[in-house]
Amino acid sequence: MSSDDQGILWEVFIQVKAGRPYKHVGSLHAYDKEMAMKSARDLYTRRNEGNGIWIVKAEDIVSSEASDGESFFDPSNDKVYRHPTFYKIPDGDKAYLMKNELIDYCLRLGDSSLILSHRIAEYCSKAPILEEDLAITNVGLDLLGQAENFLNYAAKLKGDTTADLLTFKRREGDFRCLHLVQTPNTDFAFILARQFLMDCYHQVLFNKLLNSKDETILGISKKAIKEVNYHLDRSNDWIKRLGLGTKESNKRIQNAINDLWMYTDELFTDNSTDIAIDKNNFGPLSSSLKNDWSDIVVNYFKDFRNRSS
Amino acid sequence: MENERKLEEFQQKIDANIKIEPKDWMPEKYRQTLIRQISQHAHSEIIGMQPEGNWLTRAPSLRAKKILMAKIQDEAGHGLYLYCAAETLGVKREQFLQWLHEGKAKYSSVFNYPTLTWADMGAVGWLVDGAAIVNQVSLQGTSYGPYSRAMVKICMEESFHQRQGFEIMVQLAKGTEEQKQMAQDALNRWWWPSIMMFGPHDSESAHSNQSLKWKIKRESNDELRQRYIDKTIEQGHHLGLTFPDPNLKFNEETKNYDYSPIDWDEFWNVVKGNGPGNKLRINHHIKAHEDGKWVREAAKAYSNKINLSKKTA
Repeated sequence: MSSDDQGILWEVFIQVKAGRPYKHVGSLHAYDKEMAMKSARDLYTRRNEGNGIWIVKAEDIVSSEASDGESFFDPSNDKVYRHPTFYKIPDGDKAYLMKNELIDYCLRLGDSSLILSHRIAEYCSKAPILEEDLAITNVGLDLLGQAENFLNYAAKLKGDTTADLLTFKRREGDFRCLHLVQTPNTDFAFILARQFLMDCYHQVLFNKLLNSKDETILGISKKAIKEVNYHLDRSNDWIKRLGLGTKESNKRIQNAINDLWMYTDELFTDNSTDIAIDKNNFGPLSSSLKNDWSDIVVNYFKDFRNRSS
Repeated sequence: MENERKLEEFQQKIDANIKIEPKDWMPEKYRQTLIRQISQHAHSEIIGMQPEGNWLTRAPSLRAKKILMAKIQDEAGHGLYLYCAAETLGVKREQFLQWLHEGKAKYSSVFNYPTLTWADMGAVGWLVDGAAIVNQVSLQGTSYGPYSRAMVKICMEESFHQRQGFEIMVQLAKGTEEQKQMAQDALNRWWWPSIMMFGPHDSESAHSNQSLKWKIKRESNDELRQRYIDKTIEQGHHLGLTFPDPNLKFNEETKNYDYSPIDWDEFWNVVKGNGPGNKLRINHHIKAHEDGKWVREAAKAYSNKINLSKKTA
């Protein structure tokens, strides 16, 4: 037998709508209940089939002998393709803002999500366990959707271009993404640490953008914040597993955080775009995000150090 | 005597279309055949992520990229459903992966071919997924409960895969001369491998008869292959493309398309992994598996710690 360990087997039950019964949909492998719950969400509700999820260790199920089997749960509201919802862009009054700065801001937000999603796409079929391959792709798809929304808006403001043209026909130097998301994939710890730092940033940023006076940015952010909260929850779990797992995993995640730290200053550096955006109440100054971000990140690590000692 | 009676009862259940469940008695050969077939099917889904993943970072539009990402993700999901179905037969996923890495388990040889252009994303979706769907639809009626249920779920989710492939083919076939040539070239390269996906002819197939009798398979390789060919040729003509087979023609008597003999030497060479593609695919999988070992160990160690602290608390 192999010495490999793919985790334990869990059975998954999904409730389609509130009030409906939970039905068995299948199984998955996970090492702990948090991972099992999140994998169940990523695997069995990809097409909006879920309202509630139960998970139970397969070994805890007492099964009847020689049963004829219960009917398998088939999602009834299956979709041909789960279209990411494209946000309809309302016409707002942009007269009092320098249009170029709003475009620049949308490119910044769109490009960062675009490139991070690209890095995740590069990781396809390389995750440590199959469940994780599916889960991280969900994050990538969310980010790609956010990127498309921001780039659509930038294209509309610019005129005479499209999100696709902005993605594929811009010169490298014209991209506005953060350097943090450009760092190439190395190991799982690095990919995860990068994701964690970005997830914290996205959570603080999109929470502020829920006060945006720009209707489109507000609309995109309302959708994005739900996705980002989940992303952070997920990367939190993994940081915990790696930090408290083995000596090797602890060393790797620590090294990854150390290596990435130098890229985080840029997240909070203001330029003329930030100032114009802030003045018009369309978004926060980048520098204003730093305290909240530090609180999340540093408190998290502190809490973590207390528990590991 | 005891076994003979059980075997008879088993066959009666099969004949009455009653599904066999994990805890039911089953002949050892039935179990072994299922272990081989389901795990092979699961491996195919997982290895099948690679030729398409090859184009993920070069998809030509945001829409195409999103769809391809979701499609490859579905393949990971389908592999997962199938591993879980196979595990109900008493073999763990760790073991299946080990057999794959040691070359003891096979996967569909079609995934050993390279994906050279974007048109291959069209041809793979249209032809390879098209062939797979014909097989999977038939397997929904397989006699083993967990396998059948996994198939039902997979068929439902697969419905968009072939369409996205065909959509790419339509775009290219109706595009510029260069794009049309690209589509034709992809069709030329994927047509025969997709036909070979159904396996050897019925007369040559080692496991076919018993599998049909036990309803592990519901239709023979040749029946499924013919169904695939008939429906696909119509679609190809709609695209205005030609098939790389001069003998392809509609037979008024059988109401099926006749086709040239299949090059079985190529088939067996690819199945046996004699080509460079096989090494590439397996090495990729082994590397990802080994790179992830420390992560799995950490997750395991963490869960042990959590459980321990709960017990001592």
